[in-house]
Amino acid sequence: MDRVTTGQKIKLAIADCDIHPTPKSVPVEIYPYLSKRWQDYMETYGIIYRQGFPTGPAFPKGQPNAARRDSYPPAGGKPGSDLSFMQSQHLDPNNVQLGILNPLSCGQGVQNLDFSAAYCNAVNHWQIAEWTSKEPRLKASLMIPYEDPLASVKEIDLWGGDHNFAQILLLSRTAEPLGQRKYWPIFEAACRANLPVAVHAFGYGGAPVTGGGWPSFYIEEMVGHAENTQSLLTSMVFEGVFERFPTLKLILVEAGFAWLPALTWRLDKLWNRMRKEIPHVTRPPSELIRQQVWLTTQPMEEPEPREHLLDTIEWIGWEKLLFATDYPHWDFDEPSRALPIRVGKEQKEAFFLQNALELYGLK
Amino acid sequence: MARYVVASVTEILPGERKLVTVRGRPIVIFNLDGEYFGILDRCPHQGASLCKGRLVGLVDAPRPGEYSFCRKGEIIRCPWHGWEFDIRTGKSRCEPESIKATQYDVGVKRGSEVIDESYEAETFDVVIESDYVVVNV
Amino acid sequence: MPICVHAGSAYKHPVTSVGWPSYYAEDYASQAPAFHNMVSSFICEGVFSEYPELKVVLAESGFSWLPAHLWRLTKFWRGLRAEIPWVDRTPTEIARDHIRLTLQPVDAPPTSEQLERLMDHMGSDEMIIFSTDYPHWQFDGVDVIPEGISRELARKIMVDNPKNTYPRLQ
Repeated sequence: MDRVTTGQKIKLAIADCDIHPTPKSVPVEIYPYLSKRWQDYMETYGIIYRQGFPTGPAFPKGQPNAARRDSYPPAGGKPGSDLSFMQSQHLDPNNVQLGILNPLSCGQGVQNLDFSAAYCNAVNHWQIAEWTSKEPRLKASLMIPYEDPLASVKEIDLWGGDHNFAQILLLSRTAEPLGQRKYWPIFEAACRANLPVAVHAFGYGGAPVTGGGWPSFYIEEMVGHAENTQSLLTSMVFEGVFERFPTLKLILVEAGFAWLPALTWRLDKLWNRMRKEIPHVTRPPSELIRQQVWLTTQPMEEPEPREHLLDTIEWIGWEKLLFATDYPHWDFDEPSRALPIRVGKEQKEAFFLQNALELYGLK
Repeated sequence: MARYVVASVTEILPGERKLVTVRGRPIVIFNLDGEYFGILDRCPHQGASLCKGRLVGLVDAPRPGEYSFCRKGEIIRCPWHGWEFDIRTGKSRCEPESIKATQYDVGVKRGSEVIDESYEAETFDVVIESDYVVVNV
Repeated sequence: MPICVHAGSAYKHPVTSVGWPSYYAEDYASQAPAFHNMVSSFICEGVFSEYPELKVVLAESGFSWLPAHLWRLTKFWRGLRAEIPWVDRTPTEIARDHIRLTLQPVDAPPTSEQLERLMDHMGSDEMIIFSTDYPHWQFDGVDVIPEGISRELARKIMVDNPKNTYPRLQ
């Protein structure tokens, strides 16, 4: 395996399956790929998300721009906007061999569907122009206006063969649970293009961020991503998405992973009892999930003692986890410290890199 | 343990901080109202540089909804996950008895004492009449 | 007296944060995440800071999800503490003191060894109280207490924990 020496230390090569790039300036970097009509639209009307608030996120963040305070590029601009700083602060010293770009606040979950499609397309161009064409370690996410499945299929078919893209990206809070048939054309196109579908925490579904209503605090939203993800996964299982699309690969991003075993135990039990309601689900949910679902590791849960996490990872399967840091966000998982437990060499390499290379077909 | 001169007092005024390296250890020196404190510049959580964090005060609440604020400028908040550390003691606010930032013994010495008492001052031309921040490592 | 929250909904909101499910199986599955959010809300809003004698019993949505949820909540709390400063110790400690969960449905792992490990993850032998959910039949076979739970723990679940949770039983 390739290693890079940093001073005296030899650092393990890693994949980072969740990096967040952001435009330095929308007029400079995105407008070239956006028609004048949509430039004017944005400047006049702004971007309307599927949420009640006219601007801004539903809760204030733990740090400004939800970013590490030390991730502001010295040359200026927002965290994640400067490739050379990302290289010097993160990609090089952490020996990132593969980085998956997941742009956020980039046209998804937007109510004006035509604008959503245009902006996603522009961001797809931007990722290649500013990131993957300049840095071979990075791969882009194919942004789609997922609330418009037909437009999404067009975008997938447009870029499907382009090796700049490693996956298709959606956000986890969708207008309807993601397993519902409205979204099936997306899964079909993903299988046709042989691209995994990655679903990243957050989004603009319009529903309160918990099933019990709107929580008061940001911390409740942060822990709530695990619940959102469990709900969308349950939907995909019971709607029969994995049966209907047996080659579909699903990646759950930035929801942690320790919650998965208990969910599979619950779903298996319900499936056993309620087969008549959902006859189209012919195999146990735990089996479907084990075959077709992967999870990125960040934010890695922190049990005490930490060794409890070994049990959880055994129950999920070492081969199912994809290391991610979430650079440059504040809840960043530092590669050398995030998994502070003794594991075998093979497991470590799988966890930190090999699983990702295998899943994305980059071995 | 040895004693090291890391700065002259005029380099770190009240409310300021300076990152120094002593025997390979990055240590951030804070000046709180004329008193100096030193903490290892590695958050005990995942190793972030505490020097890049924000100096805050202590927000507490005896009851839900009743906020109190004190000790302005005496808490350093990690630039990553936001863990709060009391600069005076190194203790975390969240779990003070079990989570601490490594503290170093820091004081102020006159130039004349420094010269007489064999402090390590490799990078300094010590002036007898000036005051210096010294760290025990 | 403790407050008992039983699985179910008044359906003021979609039962999940991603909208309305298509199937009863999905709706039923969503009761567990609903309890995760409830645990977060009780703790983060400071209910137990304000009412230090209060215990809350979460009924009929299992407990095997609890350790992972508390690991996450405590992890974030360490840095976001100042947003909810009335939470003056770890959410995990607060949950162990104030939250109780009924035994059935267990949503148990497939093997007794895994269940034993899970009970270790719970970090406390005082949190589970015996229940059958009669007349519903939540468990397979006739053994209400699943394999993997030691005799000592079974006694705590069936006798000590309920007594300590419901003072009027004493």
